[in-house]
Amino acid sequence: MREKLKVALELQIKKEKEEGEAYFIENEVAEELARRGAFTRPATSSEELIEEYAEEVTPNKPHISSFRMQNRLFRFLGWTTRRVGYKNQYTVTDLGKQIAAFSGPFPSTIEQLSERDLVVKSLVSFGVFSVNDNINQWDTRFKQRIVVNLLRVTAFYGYISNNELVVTAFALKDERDPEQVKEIMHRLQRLHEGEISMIDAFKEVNVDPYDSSAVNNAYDGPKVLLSLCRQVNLLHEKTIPLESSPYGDLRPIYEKMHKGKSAIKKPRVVNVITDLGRSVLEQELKKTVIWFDELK
Amino acid sequence: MLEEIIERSAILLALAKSYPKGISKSKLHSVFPSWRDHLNFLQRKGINVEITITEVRLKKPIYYDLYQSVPPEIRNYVEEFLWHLIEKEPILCKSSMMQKVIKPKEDLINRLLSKSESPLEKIDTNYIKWVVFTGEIFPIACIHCANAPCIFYNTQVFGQTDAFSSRVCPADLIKESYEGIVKIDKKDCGGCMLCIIRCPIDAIFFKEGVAEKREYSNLTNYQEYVDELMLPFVEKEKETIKAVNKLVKISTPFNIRVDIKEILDNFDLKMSATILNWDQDRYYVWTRNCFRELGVEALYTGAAGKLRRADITIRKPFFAGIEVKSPAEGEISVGALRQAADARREVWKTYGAEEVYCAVVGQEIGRGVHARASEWYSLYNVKIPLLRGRYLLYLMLKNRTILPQDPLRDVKRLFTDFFGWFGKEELTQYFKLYFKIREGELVSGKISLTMPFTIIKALKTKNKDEALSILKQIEKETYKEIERCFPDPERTARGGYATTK
Repeated sequence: MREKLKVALELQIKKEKEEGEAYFIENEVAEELARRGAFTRPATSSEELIEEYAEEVTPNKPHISSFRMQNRLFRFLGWTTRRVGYKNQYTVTDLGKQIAAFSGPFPSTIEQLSERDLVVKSLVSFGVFSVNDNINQWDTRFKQRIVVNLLRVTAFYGYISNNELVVTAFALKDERDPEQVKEIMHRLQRLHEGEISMIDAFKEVNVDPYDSSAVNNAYDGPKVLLSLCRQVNLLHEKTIPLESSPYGDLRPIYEKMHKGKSAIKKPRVVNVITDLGRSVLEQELKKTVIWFDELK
Repeated sequence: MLEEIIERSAILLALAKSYPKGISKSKLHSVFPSWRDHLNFLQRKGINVEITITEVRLKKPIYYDLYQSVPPEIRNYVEEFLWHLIEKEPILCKSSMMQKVIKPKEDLINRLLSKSESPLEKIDTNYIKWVVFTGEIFPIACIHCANAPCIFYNTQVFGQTDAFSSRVCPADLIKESYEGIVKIDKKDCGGCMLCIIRCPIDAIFFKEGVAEKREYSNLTNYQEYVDELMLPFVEKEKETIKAVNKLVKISTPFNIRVDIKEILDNFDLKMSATILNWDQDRYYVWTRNCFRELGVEALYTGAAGKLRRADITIRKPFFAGIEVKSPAEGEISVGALRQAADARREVWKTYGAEEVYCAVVGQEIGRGVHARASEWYSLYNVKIPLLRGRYLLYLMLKNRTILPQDPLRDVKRLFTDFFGWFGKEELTQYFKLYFKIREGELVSGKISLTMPFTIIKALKTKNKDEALSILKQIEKETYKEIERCFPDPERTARGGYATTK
């Protein structure tokens, strides 16, 4: 990700020199990345890849859609932002420039400054909407930092599956409301104690457990965030059963939780919180949260 | 209303940044005269603020972030107020992209060199090397390149499966500081020569078994030799290219100026279990880099968690899967042959190439492995050369010094012409064909880029026959060097092979 951000920054500096305005355009960065071999496929050179999709419309070009998705993540992390007053133009923020200044394998350091710390700091501020994103995509009803709440529910038992996240952390609207937090924690407890099944829990959060597309959509939600959390060592992925771990064999719990026929699949892996994850969570929960639109 | 949001945002951020300390009340008043109203508002929103006689501070930390909470429309204004309030330079400012550039003062060095003003004897030749080119004299000490080639493989940053795709030093001992200063930690250096051969200006050299860097700071009157300036990274990159272009003309081909046997012995010794005993990652990265330096596109695909099992995959200009046995894993065993064949199959499956080769690379070869490799060839027609690290290092060094090799015509032959033990006989055979091809080129007049540099230079002043005799001379010297560098009696009286131990 950092290397892709570097290329965006390079193009931004180039534009600043040529036009006097610092910004980058997603399509140009994606093309440049493809030329440099960032999107490769076995036995296909980067030139061949660009050529193959030259005739396609932009959304069908895999390198462009891939970088667009990455840039969306960058905006959520605060590393890039939209250029005010211009459509489809973005700039790398000073925080993004700092991230791009690191080099070598992740996580790197520059003197005392740790890349992991900076990424963790950006990651825990990951919200449901980003101020760096298009205003039309803001949904200010959601006042929660997803990663913090994801860690909060994981820390409860020490491990969690994707489906459990869907019905807990991802079903939270305002993390400051103790009633809402109590409700999701209670749901998690009821699931583990066998009071309700995952089908019931999905129904509670208004996701049709029998509609596979709805279930898959919900299931895909936490994936990217979980991957980022794993990369910065906030979470680990472990295959069930975790017999040798302190959590013991989890198979009976998940078998009970996933009883009944539905589109929800039984998990094969769980996410286990690390010591770093716990300490980051502890720090973040101490903070009073305030949102931009509440300063009016 | 927007003004209020900007001011409140700036106050919140200033309080958050200075937590657990506070911000001075007088400072707050000078920037925002209506600060008390803002604080009252924030307290109503649940922010616990403590106001003492001199300062204002938070009782509890808060979450409010400049890049993730403040919209870009007002971010600049908020930032401006913020730096007024907390009176310190932003940590995440644009200057983070500024890096130090070191420029030798040429006129001073010229003066130093001319005996009339300052005798040459005063200069410590261990630390500085002078290069004379078309009347101009340049000092060669580390210029701390942007994107330093001794640290990164720039063009291969985006290796698709390679976890250490950009790493040059297998043990990751070369680091770049915040200001762009390149440092070598020579304590654990294996003397693998990679950084040395990649330095575009020969500033890194081999001394007492480790890589050492010539620094201007090691010279007496350091400040007299250099100008230091801060430039944005992009500008530094341009400066580097300019400096390197100036110097690279005379430093190519690279000349290591150290007995090659000493380098090989040192590497063998350092790799032994008692000294460095490189593990998988380090030895695999070294093997991959050696192949990269031999001109092929190699990837490290054997890291833990990778689906493909070829430790090293070569994908350009031919396909090969290489099984690597690091010193920590032990010698090349019979099992490694099967793994090499598996590696070959994996590369074939991934790329669908018609021809895929395989090999095993390791420090030592175990008993009976050569015999089994011969069986693989006679039974399944699969050639698996067993390449020891010492030989690979020799080939790589020769490629970067006086005998440049062509990936398709020369390097590929390692996989196609040999199987089993790759010893000094095989190495001699490899170079026999190498010289035969170059001889053919000389006779036909179609000189390729991989002709030894000495011959290309000689052709400028001498005729073809004279160049041919020089080539013969180099060939003779190479064979002599091979005899000297690989002295152990590897082949037994019965034509088999002893183990390397």
